[in-house]
Amino acid sequence: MTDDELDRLLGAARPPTAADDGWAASAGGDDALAAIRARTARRRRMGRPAVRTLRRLRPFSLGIGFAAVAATVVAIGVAMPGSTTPRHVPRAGGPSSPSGPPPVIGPVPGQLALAGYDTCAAMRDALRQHTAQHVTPWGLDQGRGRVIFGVPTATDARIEQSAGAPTAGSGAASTPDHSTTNDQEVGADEPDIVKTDGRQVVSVSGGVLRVVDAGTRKVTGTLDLRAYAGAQSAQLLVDGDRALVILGEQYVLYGERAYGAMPYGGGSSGGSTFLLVDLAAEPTIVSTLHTDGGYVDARLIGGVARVVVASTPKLAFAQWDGNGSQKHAEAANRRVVQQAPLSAWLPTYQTTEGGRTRTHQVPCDRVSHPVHYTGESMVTVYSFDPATSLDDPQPISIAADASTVYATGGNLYVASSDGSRTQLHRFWVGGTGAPRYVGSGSVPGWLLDSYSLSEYAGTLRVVTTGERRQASALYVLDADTLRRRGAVTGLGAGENLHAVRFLGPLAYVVTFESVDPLFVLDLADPDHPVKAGELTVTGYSDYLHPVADGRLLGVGQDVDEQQRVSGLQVSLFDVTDPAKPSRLDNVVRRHTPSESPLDPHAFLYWPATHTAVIPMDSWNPGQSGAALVVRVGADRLTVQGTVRNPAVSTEGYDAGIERTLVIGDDIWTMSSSGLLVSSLKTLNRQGWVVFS
Amino acid sequence: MDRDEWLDELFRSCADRVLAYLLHRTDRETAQDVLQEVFVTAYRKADELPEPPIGWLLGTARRLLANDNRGARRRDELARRLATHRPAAGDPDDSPAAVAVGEALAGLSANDREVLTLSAWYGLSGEEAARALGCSPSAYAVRLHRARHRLADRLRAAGYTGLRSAEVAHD
Repeated sequence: MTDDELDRLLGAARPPTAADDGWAASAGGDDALAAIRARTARRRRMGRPAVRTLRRLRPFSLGIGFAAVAATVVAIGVAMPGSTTPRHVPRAGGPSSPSGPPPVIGPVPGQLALAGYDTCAAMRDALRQHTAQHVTPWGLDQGRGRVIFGVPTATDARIEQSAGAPTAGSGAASTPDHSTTNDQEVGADEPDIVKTDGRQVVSVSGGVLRVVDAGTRKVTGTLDLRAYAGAQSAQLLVDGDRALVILGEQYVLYGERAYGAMPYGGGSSGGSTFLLVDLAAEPTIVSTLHTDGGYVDARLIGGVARVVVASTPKLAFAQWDGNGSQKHAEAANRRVVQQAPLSAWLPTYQTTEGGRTRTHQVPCDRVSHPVHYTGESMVTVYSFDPATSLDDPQPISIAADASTVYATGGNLYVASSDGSRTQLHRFWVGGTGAPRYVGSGSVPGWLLDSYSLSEYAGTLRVVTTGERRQASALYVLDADTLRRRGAVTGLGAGENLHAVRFLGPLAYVVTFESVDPLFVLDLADPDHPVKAGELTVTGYSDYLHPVADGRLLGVGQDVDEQQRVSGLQVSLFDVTDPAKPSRLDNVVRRHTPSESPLDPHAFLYWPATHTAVIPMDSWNPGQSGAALVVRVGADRLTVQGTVRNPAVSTEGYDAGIERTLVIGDDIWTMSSSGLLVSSLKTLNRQGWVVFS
Repeated sequence: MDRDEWLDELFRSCADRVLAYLLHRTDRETAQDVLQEVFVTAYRKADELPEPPIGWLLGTARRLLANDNRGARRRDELARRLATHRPAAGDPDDSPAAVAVGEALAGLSANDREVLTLSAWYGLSGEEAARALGCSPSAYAVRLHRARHRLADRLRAAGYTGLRSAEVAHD
């Protein structure tokens, strides 16, 4: 093949993007440029550039002297090799440590752990030793350089369940019924770009937070966050009159001379910023938290926000530039690790309130570790009550990595995949204070997203997949020890895993290559889970949602004979008999792509009227996206119509419907241009709240 | 021309390609955040920017994305998309050849993919692509040559037999 031919073929394989048709000159480009100008103007005002991010360029700038600053409240036992810890939290054994007492589940008694120098020194030595094993001539290996197929890890917004469980107005008789974020588990609210309590709608879009009165449909408050890095991907948790704004990760260039040679030269990202905003009057920032690690995910559980952050050690590695001996470079980097102070590993954070900024370091007596760990990263869980402040976020850390977070009302699980296994770490979050690290375990394969995890009746169920088109598997673990009780392997050999949903003692798993097997797994006996049934249909679902009476709704893509995606598909499955799942009906919208895989937060099911709303993109520039409204009957699906938000931009990049809410008798559809209010019954337009 | 005007011009002429590069590799919101950071950084380092600047901009986008913790976990997002991407019926790029190339590209190393796509997808010259990758133009030429070989090998292994037709056997 000639180079020209290869280039032509390569060009044809380029996936189209929204930036392809003159985006920079469009309204979308105008918005982005305005935000960039706001950022550069802010820099000028601040006198020196990028204060928050530049700080990160100086490894070791924080001395170990900070270690004691935040040493308050509940202490978590340190369990480091060689340390003599009189009492530590019972750790569940991983697969390689089969013994160990079962962890105590319940409120943590006032445990105190020794935080003496010996313990911290032992921790430092252990971290040095573990980290040094992963040093390369370029810095840390991180195991992230390899190609992993078919494993979309959870992105910030890609986690969640039972959409639109109707919530009765809290006390106030005037508060209408309203939907909530389509959270995966009841009692563990997930961050999203819009939240409502039936009285007001709080949203963050395009870097601007807005409060809209649900009754008057007027914007009653705004807070422009565009001068903050990460504002475009901001998300919210709302508790009463307080919103926690989670800004996207900050980006920082370090290792200026190593121009893209190896991205992991050491150091960490620019960190993440969290803003606590008071909504009672005009929205105001009351306190901020900046962590040195990157935000992974968060949950609001029982009025306490739990924020999971992953950080990497602050080690000033040299990057091997191709000159000199590779071995020598690696040895030099190993010395960097072996001489690094403990503070290089300990996560740091800053709190700002009332104009005063304080820097803290997670004290070493609040750091623990699983049996197996690498020292290449730390996971920290910060906890606070949004009604108060971010001033004391009670961090606890474990030496582990994090990419997926799953939580119930009582436990929070952090998962990460390295090479061929998924590590799982459990934290007890039943109280209001710092969580308690309960233990760790691991299973073969990788997670699709948080929906691959489910806690049920003392078990943790996990579905994983392997290299591309390897079979998927389900593991049932004892939730207390995270040790395996049963497994079903060999699901969908030669296919990619697309969706997982656990409902009570059953699991539904969708794999796909050319046809869609929907597997039903019966986990009623955790020690002997079995495949109960299987259904093969065309196309595939990448989101499954339970609706009434043993019915399951699948949202995904229809696929034609040539294996091409031909449009959005919504399927109604009868899963009353686990042995005989069947498809009762399906709706296909050809040439109307939906976001795939569907972000569960973008899906709405309103049980009162059996209404499902699914966003559809448009392939036509200039035409805004729409949302498909479907009535879910006992055995059929009826398309009620579509809702389309007015396009503000003519370029079609920004006007897709991102979220749908129900408040009273109305559907609210949110796009980046505004909130459209339509009648739930007729879909007739009731109002339009423009985001100017 | 003051620095603000210079930034406007830089944005209008280059933001399309930077955003396309990012959209191929991360989600929409992260792409917007990184895009902004690229141009904020360019503003700060206006004096250091080479002419033409596109190689520097993509190189900066590349490094910012690589430094992102979440990005690190999703750094094979492009490979995943290519491997699971199914062209839509009616799309101009729905030829079986495009699918085969996508799969072959997904099977290459991230470095090879970067080398191949910088020129083929974003129209970078050899010199600009070298700047984006932080290597010398001659090193880039060697890397491109090798990456093309590996891509051709994979295409042949997948049954792509030559110039004439777009008929490609699926594995």
